[in-house]
Amino acid sequence: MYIEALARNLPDGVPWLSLTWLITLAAALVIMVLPRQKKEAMRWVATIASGLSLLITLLLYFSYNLNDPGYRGLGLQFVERLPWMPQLGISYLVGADGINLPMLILTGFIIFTGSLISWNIEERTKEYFVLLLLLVTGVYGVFMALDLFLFFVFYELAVLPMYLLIGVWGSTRKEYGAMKLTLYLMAGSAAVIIAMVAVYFGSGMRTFDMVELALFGRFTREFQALFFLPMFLGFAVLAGMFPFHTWSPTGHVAAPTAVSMLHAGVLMKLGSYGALRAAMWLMPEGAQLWLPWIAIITVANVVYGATIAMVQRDFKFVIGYSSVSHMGLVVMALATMNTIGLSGAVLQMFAHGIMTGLFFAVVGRMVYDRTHTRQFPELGGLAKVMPFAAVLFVIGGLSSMGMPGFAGFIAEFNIFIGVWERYPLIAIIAALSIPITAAYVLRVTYLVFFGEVKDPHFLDLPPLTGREKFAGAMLAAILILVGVYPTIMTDMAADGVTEIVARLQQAAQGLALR
Amino acid sequence: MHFFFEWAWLIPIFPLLAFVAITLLPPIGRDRLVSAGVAILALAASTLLAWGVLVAGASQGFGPHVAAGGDGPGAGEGILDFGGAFTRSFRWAPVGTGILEMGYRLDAPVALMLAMVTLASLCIHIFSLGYMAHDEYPRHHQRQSRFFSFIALFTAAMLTMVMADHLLLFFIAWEIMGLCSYLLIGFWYFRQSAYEAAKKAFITTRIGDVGMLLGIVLLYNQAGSLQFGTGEGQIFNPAFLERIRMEPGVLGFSVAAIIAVLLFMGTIGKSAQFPLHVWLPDAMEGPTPVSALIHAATMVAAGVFLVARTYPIFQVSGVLPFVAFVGTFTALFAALIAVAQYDIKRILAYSTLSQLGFMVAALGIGAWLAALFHLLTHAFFKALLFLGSGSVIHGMEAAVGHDPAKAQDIRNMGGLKRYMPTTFWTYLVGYLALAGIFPFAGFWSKDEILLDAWNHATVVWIALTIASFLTAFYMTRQIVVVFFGNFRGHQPLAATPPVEHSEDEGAKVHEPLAYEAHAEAVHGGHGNPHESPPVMTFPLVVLAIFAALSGFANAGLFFGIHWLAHFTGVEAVEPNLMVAGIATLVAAAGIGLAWLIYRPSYKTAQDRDPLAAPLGPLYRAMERKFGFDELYQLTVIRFNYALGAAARWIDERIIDRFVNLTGLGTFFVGRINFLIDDITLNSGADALSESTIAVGDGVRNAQSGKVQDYVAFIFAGAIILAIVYVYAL
Repeated sequence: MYIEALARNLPDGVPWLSLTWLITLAAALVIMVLPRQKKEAMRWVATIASGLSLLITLLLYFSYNLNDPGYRGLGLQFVERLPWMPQLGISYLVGADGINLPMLILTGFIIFTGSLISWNIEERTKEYFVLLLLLVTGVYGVFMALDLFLFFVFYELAVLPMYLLIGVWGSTRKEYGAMKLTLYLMAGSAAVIIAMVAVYFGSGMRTFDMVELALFGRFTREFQALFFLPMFLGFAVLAGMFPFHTWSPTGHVAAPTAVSMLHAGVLMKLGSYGALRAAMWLMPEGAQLWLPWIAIITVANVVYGATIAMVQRDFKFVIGYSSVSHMGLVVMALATMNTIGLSGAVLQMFAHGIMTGLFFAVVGRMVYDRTHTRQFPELGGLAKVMPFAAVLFVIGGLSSMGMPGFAGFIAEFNIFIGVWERYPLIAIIAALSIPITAAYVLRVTYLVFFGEVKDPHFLDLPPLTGREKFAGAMLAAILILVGVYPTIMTDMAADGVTEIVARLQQAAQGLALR
Repeated sequence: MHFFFEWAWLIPIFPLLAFVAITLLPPIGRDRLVSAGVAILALAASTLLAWGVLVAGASQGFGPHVAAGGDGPGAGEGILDFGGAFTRSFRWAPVGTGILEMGYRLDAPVALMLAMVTLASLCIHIFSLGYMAHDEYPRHHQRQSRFFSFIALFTAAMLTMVMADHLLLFFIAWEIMGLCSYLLIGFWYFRQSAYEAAKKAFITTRIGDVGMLLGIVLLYNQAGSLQFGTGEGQIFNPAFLERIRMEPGVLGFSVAAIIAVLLFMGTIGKSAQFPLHVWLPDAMEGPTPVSALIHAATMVAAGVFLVARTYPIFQVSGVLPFVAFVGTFTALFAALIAVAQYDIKRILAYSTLSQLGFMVAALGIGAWLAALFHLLTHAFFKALLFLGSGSVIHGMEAAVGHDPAKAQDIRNMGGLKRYMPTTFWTYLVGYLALAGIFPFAGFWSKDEILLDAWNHATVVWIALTIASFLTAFYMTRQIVVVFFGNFRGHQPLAATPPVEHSEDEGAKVHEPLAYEAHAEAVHGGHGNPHESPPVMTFPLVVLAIFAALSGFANAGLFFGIHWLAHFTGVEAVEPNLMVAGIATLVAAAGIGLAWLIYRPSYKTAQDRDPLAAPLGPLYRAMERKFGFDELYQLTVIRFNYALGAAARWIDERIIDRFVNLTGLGTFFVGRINFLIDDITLNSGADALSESTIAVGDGVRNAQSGKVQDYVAFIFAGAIILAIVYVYAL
């Protein structure tokens, strides 16, 4: 394989990781200076730039070495480090391991397909693509940052464009949706800031460098007990944890398609990723103290979210609540604090990201933009009109309900094994969501795609464009690929979480000794 | 002959390749004959290999027989170990720290199942070529190709499941079968009843699957592996079995009991045992070859095979009496319902439920071999009966049109013996096998079950004997009403399709009129019923041979043949002439009684059933299947929707209201700030006030302006808090 050979010999001295966000940022700047009427050029710039960034993440995937002890023995690779504000202990430090590399690849896929799906945006095309690329720049940055301050800067960069994207290009109570989303995310980040500043001072090291903090930070048990919770919950808000989840379905519904894809596919993962990387890595004893309680709450996410999804009348709300349910599984998996559970969490983040991206591409771009309705009583029989979209939706649905042969199954199986190991009762209750998920996916499939064509106008809908088909097929193919040959993802995930699991176990022993 | 063992992995691969080729290669998928040909050829190759495996295994065994037991006192005593086995595996996916491998295992039960599944599936593929020929809605050739790709995928999954060497792969294949079942039941998805049935089948079995998944998770948690086999670290390891037998779980049950019950939930769903039996009769909405393949011969038997495969765990679990109860109850219960049905396929469906109950009951009383034997013979004669019914329906459509409600109602039939002789004679063979008449296959396998029941569990024996009587009765009723008497289809019963209740308003869909009109055009609609083409009758003949003769694999009585027992390494049971005699008498009584009652009845299609008046309310209850569909509709499904509605209410009314209140609160604080500003900075510039008002308005409209203030405020607070923490503590 040529690409593999190239990847094995990736030239040194190139800031490969940073290139991803530098490319999207550069594309945003290029679009900014393009004349307003050159819409086609803007689309091409955005698509090519996001395609290039995807390509880089894939190169990194192929050159990732499972046996490499990595940066300071923590398994981190492709590390770049530059002093930024040394007097405050802030540096530009990025790196990738088995946890965030899948997330970077996920981001690459979603922004690439998202750009393809956004081809029809005619209103303020320039601002739309600039904001979209800025948003994804922030997302890339968060996933690679190993410095808390840098992490936060990128995080804010990701959240603010979201507000404008929903407020301007959204639909269905877009102002309300945008407001609610931003309010929640800001409240979450406020909690994170508290904990972050506390960590900065509490470690006694005056540094935001997460690697330094993880290696040498000495946080007392009381400190961890006090500050783990705001840090974890602050991020968990972004992951849609009950009862801080209501922003997410509303936000999904209001957002334009590509933003929904990024939002549910990637942005929610920022939350669970932050909770894992910052909260659980830096404060393992706090994790051991609090996570068993968090696990109980996530049951509500998983089962409650699924039941709500079943009674919705709006297509997008179903997907929104299904995200709440699936992300609940991620947080539940984090609470297991064992290797299998945590690697299940990483897999689920990836699988759900791709799956929900596919869902929103179908629901938003293929169905809503054409039929101009998302209400079930008005939809029906679309399989006849757009069979390709129906197949894509069914593939996403099968992955969603954990059907073997699709990525979702691998993730859920790992999660259930992990959860059972630690909380058997919770595993049993959470398993109730499996038939409920099957029920709502099949219900929606029937109401939208099968049965009679409700509206004669549907027969004259414009056909799917080649770009849309390509984007959808790409996402569907990944779901099947990972489902059929999971080793390509599971090895990396299991490798990535070993360091954190070791720290968590050490903390558990420390607590037991007391 | 190791050739067959080394290459056995190709058995599921051939149909899988057929599926891939039909789906992905347009030149193949575009033409129905080419795609059918690809599927049939692939399956023929699998059949050859599978029978090669069986012959090779029978002649020289599957490998050294590793004796179970050894370590641990009393371990492995009387525990089934499946004899010698041949295994191969390769790495597939690591789960956490342990590595799961994908592999296959060949031993006696596997070889038998492979031979049965490939042969039955091959017959059904060929039959479908004729049966599906007229299915041209919605005028795409690809739809028929898709049909063949789905049944090829199904067969691949079934074969994978049979050969799987560990429980996860077993489960994966199991779920893919469920998916294919869903796709094929709903093959005519534009019929609302078909789609509803597909959904119901999928969700109902999935409820059982959740239990099974949890059972697998618990088993993995305990054993650290899911590999079949008695070796160290494998799930049938005697020391491990002993450990889970002794280890307390919850509520006084051992861990083994919990695992067994959870796994058995999978069986209850997949093999449609009471109380999850409701999906199977509705599954008859699918094309008839699908009913024959998936809902009679193979997939529904997978649940039985699951218990048979993990039998050592059941043996140490102590839950076998529960298994026996569920099976026996289902056998009796379903046979009762079958007596009062009119749809030719539904009668067979209830019969399948009942026969599966026989198998499950056999497993429950320790008659492992009898269950496997009945599974194999039942697959042949029930596939035969279903294909026969397909042939009947196909012929009936010439008389009453392409309307399942009319073409499948036995009251509209009668006298078909004259019109379709081959179908009649092969159907008769299947009927005699099912009724348990000497020397047809069903006689031998059912006799094995009854014999074991007689020896070990008298209550089960009594119940199963009654069920045998009912079996003979309802099958005779069917044969008499369908094939004897006068043809009544020229004045068919006015079709009253059952009204399905859907929770979703706006989901009511009627069949597209174009479809009906099209069908009418193809099938004239008012001719006489006709015999089916050879492509359909040939598979009937093949299956009839097996339905007649496959019982001789283990014909202990009179013939002294114990080949099956010898092959599987299970001790043969001493034949008992009295048990066989009673069984035959009971069957004969059922046949005679039904003949006397039904031969003179049904002069016209509008007649009432002769049993309706004397049995009164009981008959009506049977007719309505004892109301379980309605019961579930009223309880489980309603409850689920109510739960969802309640959860939505909480989200909208409590959580969101709280959020909005917080927003208002912030707004209120903003107002106070403004007042403070206004009062204390009264002399300040008007511009400041006005800009504050503007911000306030902005908050009211977009309610976002305060967010940054809020963050800044908290940020400041955080710094203060941190400083206090660092310096004061």
